[in-house]
Amino acid sequence: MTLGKLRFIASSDIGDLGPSQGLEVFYNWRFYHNMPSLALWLILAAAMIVIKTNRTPHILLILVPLLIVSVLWFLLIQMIEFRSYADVETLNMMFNSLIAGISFLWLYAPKLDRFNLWIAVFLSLALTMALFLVGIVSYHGFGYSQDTVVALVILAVMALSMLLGFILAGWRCRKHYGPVRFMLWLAIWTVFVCLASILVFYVIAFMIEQAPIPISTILLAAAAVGSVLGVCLYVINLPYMILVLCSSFFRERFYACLRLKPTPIYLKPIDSSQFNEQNSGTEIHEN
Amino acid sequence: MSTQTKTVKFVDSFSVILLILVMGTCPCKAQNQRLIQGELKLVGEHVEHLVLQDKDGRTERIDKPGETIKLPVGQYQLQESHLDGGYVYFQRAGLQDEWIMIAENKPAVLEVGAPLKQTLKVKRRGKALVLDYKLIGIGGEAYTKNERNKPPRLIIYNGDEEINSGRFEYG
Repeated sequence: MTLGKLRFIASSDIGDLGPSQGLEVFYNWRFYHNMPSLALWLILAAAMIVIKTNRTPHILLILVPLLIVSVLWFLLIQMIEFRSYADVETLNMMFNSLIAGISFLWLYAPKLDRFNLWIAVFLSLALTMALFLVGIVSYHGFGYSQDTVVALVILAVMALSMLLGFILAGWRCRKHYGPVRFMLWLAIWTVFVCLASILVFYVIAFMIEQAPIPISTILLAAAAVGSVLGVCLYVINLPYMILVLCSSFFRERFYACLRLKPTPIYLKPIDSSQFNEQNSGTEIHEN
Repeated sequence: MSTQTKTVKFVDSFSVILLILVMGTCPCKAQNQRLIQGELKLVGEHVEHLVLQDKDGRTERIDKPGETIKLPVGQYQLQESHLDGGYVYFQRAGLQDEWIMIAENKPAVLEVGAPLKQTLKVKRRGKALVLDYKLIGIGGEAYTKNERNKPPRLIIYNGDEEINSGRFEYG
């Protein structure tokens, strides 16, 4: 493992135009630079310990979807050929920030049900954005760059799409809730909000840049990017939703946060005499 | 011919002449401005040729420029700079450089060309370091070489020990 002060020297023979060697540049490589997502996992661990309602073994179930999506992501990255390792790391930063954000929301959910729905959404968005910022600083440092801003905007769009997707899907299921119905509405709204947000972002960005590109090209690019992001977000969110719908511990949080009333399941009353007929019990023979 | 008709004809002729004079003055003014020349002092060496563009979009190509260049007065921007050895600078589209004001009695200064500096910027992307190499001219303009067969070399040291070396990739 490389640690310490690294020294870089660039050189090229430029003849009479200048010195053949550039000035030395230094970079202090610290131990935590080898684990850029460490800060995100420490925050998740803290949320598990600090929030009282999380102090139960059930909370460890949140690690299941986290591990599943991480393994799938790792396999996906191995399959794609990237131009440089820096591109892989930028994608890793976005992915890790996003899954840490989703996991954090489920850990923080018990604190959200006391607020008004829209305040809860705003608070969730603010907390997720704060976590994304931690992720960005952990991976890119404090320096400003254009790709950092783009990454933050994409993450913000994804967080907004996920939260609004939940609210809108919950709203569509307010009278007749069912897990499949909810998941279908969640898919539709997640992609739709993602598409709309990316469209607004593209239009604003192109207006600021004043790029000489026809509006039809901008709309087409925004539609393609928005749809892909929306689908990716839904797929990443899916293992978390499966956990939430399968585990009673997380299901309670889900119902409380979205103010959903689950459809009561009516069981046919069992006739006790029938029960007795079927199970006659152990016969005791007295001699 | 009555006196009234004579007066009308005189007024008509006067108006036509006045119109011609007014219309003729504007191009003359512009032409005069193009005829008035100012001086541009060049700081920098090994410049093969320069391309400057004025605010109206007209370009001036100056081959083998000396220490001073005579140019029509106006505002100019550096569009291209070509140095000995095939090093070139093109102003990137959308990026607005500073305008150089060329006046009749006040020589302007343009810093362009050699000596060039080899600069390196390091930024971290997770576990990767991105190294950005640039060849910067005296006026801050970034040059690239036409031939890309020999990219710049890089050596990395940890303390005094060389831990890696290689060549940059153009991108």
